[in-house]
Amino acid sequence: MELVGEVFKGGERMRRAADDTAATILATITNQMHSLRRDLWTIPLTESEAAVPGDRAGVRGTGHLREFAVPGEPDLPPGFRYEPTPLSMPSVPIDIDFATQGLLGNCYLISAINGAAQWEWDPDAIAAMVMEDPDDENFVIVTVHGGTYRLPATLPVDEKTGQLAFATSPDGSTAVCYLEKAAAAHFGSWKDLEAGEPIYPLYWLVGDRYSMYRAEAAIKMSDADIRAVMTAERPTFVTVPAEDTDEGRASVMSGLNLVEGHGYTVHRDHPSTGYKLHNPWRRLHPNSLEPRDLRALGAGLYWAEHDPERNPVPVAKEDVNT
Amino acid sequence: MTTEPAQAVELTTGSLNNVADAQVGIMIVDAPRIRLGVVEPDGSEHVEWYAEGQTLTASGCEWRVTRVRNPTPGARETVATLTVAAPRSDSSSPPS
Repeated sequence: MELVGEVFKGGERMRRAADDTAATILATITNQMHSLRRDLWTIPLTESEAAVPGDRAGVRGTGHLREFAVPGEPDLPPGFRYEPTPLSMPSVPIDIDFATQGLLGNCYLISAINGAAQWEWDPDAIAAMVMEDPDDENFVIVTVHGGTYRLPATLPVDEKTGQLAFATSPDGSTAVCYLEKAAAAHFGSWKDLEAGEPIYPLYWLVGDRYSMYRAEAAIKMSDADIRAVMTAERPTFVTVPAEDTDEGRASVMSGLNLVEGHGYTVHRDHPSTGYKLHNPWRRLHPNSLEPRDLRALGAGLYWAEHDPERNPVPVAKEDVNT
Repeated sequence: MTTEPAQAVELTTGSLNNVADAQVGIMIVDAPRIRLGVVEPDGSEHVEWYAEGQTLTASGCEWRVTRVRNPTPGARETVATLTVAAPRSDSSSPPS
């Protein structure tokens, strides 16, 4: 019996080692997929990729990573379906709460939209980007820096509730839903929108309005550098990585009310001390934080700026339509 | 209108989860503990750490936190389940 016990324990050790190896391989593959998707944000779709069934060319549309599912829409995860939903434009000024994340893990994209909304867009700018197809009211045309997308006027709903499933706006307008759908069309499926870094979809949205898109680990930055980035009055984001959480890190995270593995937009209205972040959930916003907190958490900072060696592009919000 | 709660709701990282008429977000996972943020239908919020087996209140129901496990970094996945521990106090039992 003793021998059997030893063999069993040896088997357990091997199983645990295999589990660790599998977890490492899975993490590596996941990282490589994220890296590939990051690059694809900067590459426009070809003409045939961007076309959708019912298009004048009658070409079956695809995204970069996946062919559209039947009946010619970005592929949906289980539990959701498309419902015809008219385009409606925002009725209120556009600000950092323009987009609320839905039942999809795309906090980085929603944060990017909110960063642009805070500094770049007003309702006229949105109307220029998202419009009903003048030739066919059953389609919506979305034009961003990364391309022009002609999309069926349908949006995903949760099969259980019948409610819009993904991005929404507080005023109930659907322009932001179609912006998000264009991003899904860019890749070919909604699941491919999950996980990423905000600066890449920001480039996809506004492109050369900024000459530089920067990413830096907070731990490599001084207090002064972090302060300069956080108050630069341009789209800026913070990501809090999901790491093995020890007692100390968990304590800092809980004290700040942060979500691990999450992306936030830096708010323009800073409190008297520290900096304010906007949760793309539009709920459960964190407490204000200091540069030392960002370093302690291993946070990532992402921002858009202008290289003084290149011709600066005006970035004031009121210039968007000029 | 209120939604009759399902008997069990899987909680996924990365976005808010619908739990009856409330929403629950996973803030931090440190299995077997988990920090959950609850957004009630009236907009009020409460955030707490829960150990596996403990209960929380959301949308008028008591839910037990079960099957907590650490997520794979970078992946969006189900890391805990809420099961109804006690139904809404205002719900009436069907006639027997």
